[in-house]
Amino acid sequence: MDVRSQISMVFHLDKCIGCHTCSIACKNIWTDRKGAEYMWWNNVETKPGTGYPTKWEDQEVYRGGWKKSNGKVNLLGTGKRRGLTNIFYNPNLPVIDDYYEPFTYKYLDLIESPEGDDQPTARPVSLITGKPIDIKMGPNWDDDLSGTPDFGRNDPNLKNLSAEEQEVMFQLERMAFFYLPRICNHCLNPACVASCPSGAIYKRGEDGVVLINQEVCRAWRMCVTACPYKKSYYNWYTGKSEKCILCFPRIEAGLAPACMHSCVGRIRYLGVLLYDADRIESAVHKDDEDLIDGHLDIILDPFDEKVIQAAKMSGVADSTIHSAQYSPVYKYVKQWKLALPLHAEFRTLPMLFYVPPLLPVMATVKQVDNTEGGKMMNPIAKYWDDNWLYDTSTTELWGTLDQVRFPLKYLANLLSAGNEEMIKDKWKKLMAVRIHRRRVTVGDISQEKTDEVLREAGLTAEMADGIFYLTALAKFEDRFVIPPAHREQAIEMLDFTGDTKGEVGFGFKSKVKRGL
Amino acid sequence: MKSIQFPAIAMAILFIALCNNAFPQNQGETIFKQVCAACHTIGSGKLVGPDLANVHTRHTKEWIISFVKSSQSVIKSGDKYADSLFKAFNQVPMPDNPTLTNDQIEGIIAYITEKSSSPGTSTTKADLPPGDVHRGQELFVGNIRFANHGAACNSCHNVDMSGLVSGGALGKDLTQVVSRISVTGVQGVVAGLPFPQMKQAYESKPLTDQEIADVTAFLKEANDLSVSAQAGNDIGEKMLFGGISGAVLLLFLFSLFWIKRKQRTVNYTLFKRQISST
Repeated sequence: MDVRSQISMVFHLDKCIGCHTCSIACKNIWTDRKGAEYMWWNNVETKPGTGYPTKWEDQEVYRGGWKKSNGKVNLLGTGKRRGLTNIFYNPNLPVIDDYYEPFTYKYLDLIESPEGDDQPTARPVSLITGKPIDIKMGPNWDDDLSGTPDFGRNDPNLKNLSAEEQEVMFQLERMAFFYLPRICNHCLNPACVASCPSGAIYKRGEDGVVLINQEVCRAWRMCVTACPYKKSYYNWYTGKSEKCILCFPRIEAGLAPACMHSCVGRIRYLGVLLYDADRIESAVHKDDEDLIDGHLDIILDPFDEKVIQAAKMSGVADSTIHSAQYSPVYKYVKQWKLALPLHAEFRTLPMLFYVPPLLPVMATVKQVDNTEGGKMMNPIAKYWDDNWLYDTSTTELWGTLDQVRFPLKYLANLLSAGNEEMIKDKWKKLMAVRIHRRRVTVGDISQEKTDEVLREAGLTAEMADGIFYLTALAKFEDRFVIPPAHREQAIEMLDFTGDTKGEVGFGFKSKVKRGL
Repeated sequence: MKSIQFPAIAMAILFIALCNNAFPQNQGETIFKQVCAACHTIGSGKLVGPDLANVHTRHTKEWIISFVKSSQSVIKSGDKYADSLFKAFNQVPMPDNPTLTNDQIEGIIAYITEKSSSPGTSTTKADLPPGDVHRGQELFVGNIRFANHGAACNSCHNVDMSGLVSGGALGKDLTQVVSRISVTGVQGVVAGLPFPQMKQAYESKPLTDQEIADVTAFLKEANDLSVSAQAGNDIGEKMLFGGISGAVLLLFLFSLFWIKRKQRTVNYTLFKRQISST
């Protein structure tokens, strides 16, 4: 058992309101630079939709991730022999039009134009060429446009759905969508690291953050192709590839990453997971249907004495182990088994987990008579004369689950490598928590009924309360349990700090050329 | 001492040459065959120099006499026709014949006049046996001696050819001599010895017909090699077109081999529909 620690994340999709605050926070801190304008280390997609870059999930196009054939797992697009013999051949690389051409507007023209007969306009100009362009695409061009032929219906996750099922999904008044915020998954088996010919990408030992060394990167761009989540981007100005760094300078200072800190819906959780590095290989080689179980299996119980001993043996700090015991991610992923990795079939063992969305799929639209309610309104209030209700209540236990507006298959393709039962299991848990809390706060559901629901979902009342607390009430310290960084230990592993003790004071990277 | 010796030797050689160049009087045919036939025909076409048939109708007797005696001084005097003639025949100067008397030249003209009425008679050597290039080369360099012990050609002449020892610089460079004066011209020169130095060297030690054929064959080979080496243009053009069509073919094959590559943006159909402002 080789225990390592990984800073890991959970995104609760039921809570995401699609406001893109996370994307903006990230952009303002990291990618508001020349050559990085088109990069969105954090982006929010509307699902069903094609995402960013367009159709990133379609590995027929981009050839990212791993593929298991004849019992061996190899990179789909490149590999050792193929990578060496085809090192100048990288045809599945996304082009700028697969992302979008970044642009700004000539705002100064609005105030500096000479007086004339026409209103001055701010023309869009490309941030790459500097010339006026027609804006063809944006980073969230399909925002809220699910169901449209160009976006919703081109979603690669629809691939195993019959034409009828797809048609049902996109019918007016039945159509539903949800948001999928994405950052780098900081995978346990990262395809980007495996594909890099320069060895510039590495997974940081102390917290598992995957980083690209900007001094070693030689712009092969194999990582851009190899990452199935398309979260490695090539900076055309610096000639280096870049990716999400999980705001490691903030984490080392005990702050949550910018996207998580700024999250309006408070959907994001961050904490340490301990895992067994010896079992990564066997987990990666599992069949598609066992992939997620294998993935969750190598995440270890931080309360287990053996695990703690082994963690100490491999140099995991006591404070990190302590942090792992309070990790909200461990609760969501292992204790409550509510969260799933995105596209486990890419076999990168992503360490960002998603709680599947329940709200958009469970509600029904009912015909009701609103006239009575309307009469009670103040005459100056807006009078609602449409007689329907967006209803999330239920009298049947799992009634709405069988009448969901989404085929389970769609979410299974997205979050459980095609396993529909797994999605249904999560939905039952989410539903059970609602029914349980409804009994507690409203009291219109009987105790027996609630107990039956909880039992069937595999939860206890305490667990349901815990889920409720972490979902609805959690404070900053509950959502982000960040271990102390211990950078001094990491540095001491590489350098002897005694060498620089007594040298010129702080702030000098090299000796100053004056004084004595 | 040396500065006095050299002109003395030169004078001696010149004197001997002049003595040997003495011809019996009024023997036009003999003199023509000895002096002129190496380079000229009467009615059988061009050789090293022009065909002399009806030359008496084209020029005055005086002009011919002065040209035969010293062609270069006629050219230098500004005679345009002589100049154009010189240029038309590869600028090979006609050797001066100062020893010929006016009578002797008139005898030659008389012979030409007589022969011009019955043209087509060959005045050159009879057909030579086929030549052997390799033996010709050996003879030229001197590895094989001439049957009559004449000096090897490369004592005075040079031929640029790989694997060949450089020759002397006294005589003309013979690398492209066949281009300049044609195969028959070379044969005529070697057999007829119109140039005084050549005459001096070989008059008493003439080459056999076989040797002439061999040396000529070698010179033709040397000439052909040298000309084809210099004329790279034709090959260059072929290389260019061959290269371009080869590259096009290769690119086509590559495109077939890698036909499954991602060929355009996934947003292509979307972008194609969009309205452009330009």
